[in-house]
Amino acid sequence: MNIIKTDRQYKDLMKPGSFIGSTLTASGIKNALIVFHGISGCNIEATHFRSDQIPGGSYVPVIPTGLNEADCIQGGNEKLLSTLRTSINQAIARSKTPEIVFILTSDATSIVGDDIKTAAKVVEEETGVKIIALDTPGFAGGLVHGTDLVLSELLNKCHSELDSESIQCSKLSSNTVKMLKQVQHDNQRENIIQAQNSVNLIAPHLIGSKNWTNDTDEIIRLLQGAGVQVNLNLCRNFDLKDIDGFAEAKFNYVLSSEKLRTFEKTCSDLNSEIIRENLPLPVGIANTEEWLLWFAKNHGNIELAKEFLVKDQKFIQKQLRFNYNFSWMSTLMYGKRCGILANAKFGASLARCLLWDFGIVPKVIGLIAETDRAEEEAVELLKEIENQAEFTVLINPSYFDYGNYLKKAEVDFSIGSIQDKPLCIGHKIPHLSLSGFNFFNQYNFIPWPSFGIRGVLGLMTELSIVLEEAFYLKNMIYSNNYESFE
Amino acid sequence: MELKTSKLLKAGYKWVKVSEIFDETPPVTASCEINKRFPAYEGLWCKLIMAVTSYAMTKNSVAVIHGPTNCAWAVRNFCSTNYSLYYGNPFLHMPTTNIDQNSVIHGGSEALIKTLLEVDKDYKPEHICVFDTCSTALIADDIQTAINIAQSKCITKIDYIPSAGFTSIPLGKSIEEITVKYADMMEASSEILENTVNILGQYKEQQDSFSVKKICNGKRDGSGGGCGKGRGKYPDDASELTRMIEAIGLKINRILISGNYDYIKSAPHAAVNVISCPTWGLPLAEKMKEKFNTPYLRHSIPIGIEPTSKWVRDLASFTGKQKETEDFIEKEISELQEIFDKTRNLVKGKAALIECGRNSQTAFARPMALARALQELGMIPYLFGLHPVELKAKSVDVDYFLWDGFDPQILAGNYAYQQPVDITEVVKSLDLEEGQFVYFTQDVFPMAKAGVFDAKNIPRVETGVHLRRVINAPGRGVGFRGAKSLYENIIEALKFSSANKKATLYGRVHGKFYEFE
Repeated sequence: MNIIKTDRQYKDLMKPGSFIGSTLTASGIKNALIVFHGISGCNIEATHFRSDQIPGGSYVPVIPTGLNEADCIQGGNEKLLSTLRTSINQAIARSKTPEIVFILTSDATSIVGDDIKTAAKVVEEETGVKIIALDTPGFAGGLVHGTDLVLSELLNKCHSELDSESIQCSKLSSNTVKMLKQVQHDNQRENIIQAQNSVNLIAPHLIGSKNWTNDTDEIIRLLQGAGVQVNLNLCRNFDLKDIDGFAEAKFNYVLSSEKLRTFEKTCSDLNSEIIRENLPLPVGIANTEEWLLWFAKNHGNIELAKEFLVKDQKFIQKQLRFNYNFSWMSTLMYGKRCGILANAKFGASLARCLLWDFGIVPKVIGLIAETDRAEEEAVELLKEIENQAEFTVLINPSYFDYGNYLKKAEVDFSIGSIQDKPLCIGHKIPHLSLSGFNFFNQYNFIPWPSFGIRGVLGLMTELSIVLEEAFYLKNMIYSNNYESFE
Repeated sequence: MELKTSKLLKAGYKWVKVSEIFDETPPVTASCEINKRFPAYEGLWCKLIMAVTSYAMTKNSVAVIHGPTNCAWAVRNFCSTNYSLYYGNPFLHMPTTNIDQNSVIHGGSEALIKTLLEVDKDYKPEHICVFDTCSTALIADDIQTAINIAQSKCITKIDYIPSAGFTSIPLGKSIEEITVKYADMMEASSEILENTVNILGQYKEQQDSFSVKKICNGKRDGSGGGCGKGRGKYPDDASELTRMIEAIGLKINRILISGNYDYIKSAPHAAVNVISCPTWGLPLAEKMKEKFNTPYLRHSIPIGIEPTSKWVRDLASFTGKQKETEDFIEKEISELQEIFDKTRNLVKGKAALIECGRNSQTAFARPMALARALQELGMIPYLFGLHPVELKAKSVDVDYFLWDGFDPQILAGNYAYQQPVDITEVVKSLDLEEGQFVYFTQDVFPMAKAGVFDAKNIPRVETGVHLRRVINAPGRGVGFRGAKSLYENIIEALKFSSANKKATLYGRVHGKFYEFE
């Protein structure tokens, strides 16, 4: 394993700014409203990425304050106040009072220093609607920074009345009660409930899979199948009132391994632990088995987990055994080479999955990480395959470097997101979008996971499409839509 | 015009001529009045996004974005999705200086110099263009001095396009300021090539002109992209305009914005400039006239038989190619006459409801050119969904269409929070009934609600460049081939809506799902 880390001043990589992280987190809260106090280019970026939460979730409006050039120099407080009042009062008039309103800024308003905290306080007092004002310019950090701000404020502002003693005595959340009812119907699982080893899933949108909403659902299904209670999913289809049950979970599972500095500190103050084990994401069979059995052993029931895995195994085998098409494609993809450009933990987990489950050799692995922990854990995960294949790991590479390494490695195809697809096509390398976000990244409308045992059917389908392009359709596609180089 | 029973009346909307709404709207710099009259007008994209995506049409070049990585990411997202994949353009490298909180306080000039030197060494491009962002503009980094310092140590030519996102928010204004900057990359020429033409205003697609391929010599820039990528069987506007220019015995010199640095630099060799999109093309043409004395012809975006004929005839009289041109036009029209007559018989007297971008509210030249073509078919065009401030910012386009004598009706109002107007209210406001109008859409989220308003009962024609792809015809519909495909699409939409009883999935998702409901 050859690890390369750039020392350049310049950066050219997938790094949406802080306000995108905040938008993605806040838009996972039901009946929330976002007032975006930034200029149009940032606003539309936020609006677009907000749409990740829409399939199977809910629509959270992003209302711009309509800043112009003069406002960005002289200040735009009046517009902020007016937009807050208008949008909240209109919602109240329609009997759709938002449960929480977020004010988010971008670079220009942050530098000008509009007093967003006072605006929030004033309108909160006037309307009685909870308002959280966050300074989220792109220069302050990336997705992790923005996510951290929203999660910390949710705990601080919505959960502040609870001290650690009351947390220990708190009643079970509505989710847990629902779960209990389900489990009681199924007598086999009764004993698990008493364990109270439930977990909160933290920041699912940071995992780096374009299919993250369905993948998170699958994570929940698997954990529950192994007797691990999932208390809250922060923030996906999240009911704000459930925040009071936050500390009922014994552990918080930060799916991406990115360090959420302030949030984790707050958790620590609340005696709510963060899972420290360096687990792969459950992509493919081998990763999922390792991942689920760890959870079952430490927080659930190992026998139940095995039983659950076997049930999924039978489902998969029923689909694929003696299946001519499956045999054809798995044989075709075996031994082929690919590149991966993805968020660190997802990229590392996917590399292991491709090698172990499909026999595809990941020759170039570009890992995108905002914090050291995510980077270090991903590299650690890759150590398990370093003696099984030769590959290069690029830490936060520029697109330029990534493209050149792909060419040099003579990969058959690459996996990334739509943003690097033109780069790969330019290098005449077929490309499959599996990482990044849902927005504009792919056109799969079927709510099926890429994670877990069942997810291999999704992965197999996606990989087959790129293999078909690489080996059967490429000449046709290039000659019709792209110039072929003589 | 008085609005009938529509809710739009209560909200203060009215139908007026384009010239009236233009005159009534305050200048885009009149912030206070705009704030008062148009609540929460936001704009659409920022100047940085528009500037870098225009530069993405050039080859072997690198855009250096002086700002936080997020800004480059926002542009990358727009470029990769809207431009590279859907227009077939190659990948533009856009390293950023990675400005953070410290640089916002202490300044980022050093980071810019270092980045420029690194990019010159690593990427070895033919050209670098620096784009600034909100952060670096607000802290007043001295970008030109930083460029000068870096240039003294760089082989690659470095240019600068000011592009802070908070400046010039209305699209037309930002485009006007960006496009003229390409004239700064050009060099005056003592030699003017006879019978050669530049097409200006091409801004989304790399064209497939032979001359670009030759000049770029197939050089790759590390993006894997080469020169002269074409759309294959889905041509762009420049392909059709080039076909017409060559058919009358002239040659293409340059199609801008496109090619590589040398290609752009040598644009002043042409005898004359002609215009594709007026928003991008006319300001650059004016600038080239001023700097290099290159004459230009004003007719733009020729959709429909008459506007196309006018566009070609204008060029013919400038170059003395009248005879060839009349023969060419006669031949082209004779091939189109039958379908033109058929379409005209179907739509004559109907209203053409033309939406200027449902969510964007910025499209003007294209809907106007379409409206002009539909009027030629005997339809009565009505434009709606264009924000007045966006219209005001497109004075170049307005001047052109008024000069051409075209001033249709448009829906004026405050478009508060840039919310789209309800097209069923637009229909009511004009007292129209089913069968009396055709809906022309421009972008995503066209209005559809099964049971009320769906392509099954309301003829709907998509005219957005990126979503309307037609084999062997330009997407925007310019030229004779574009006219033919427009007529075909109208006939198909009418046939579908008049004979079909089954709602589309799109309409069912937003409206009545089943017939039994």
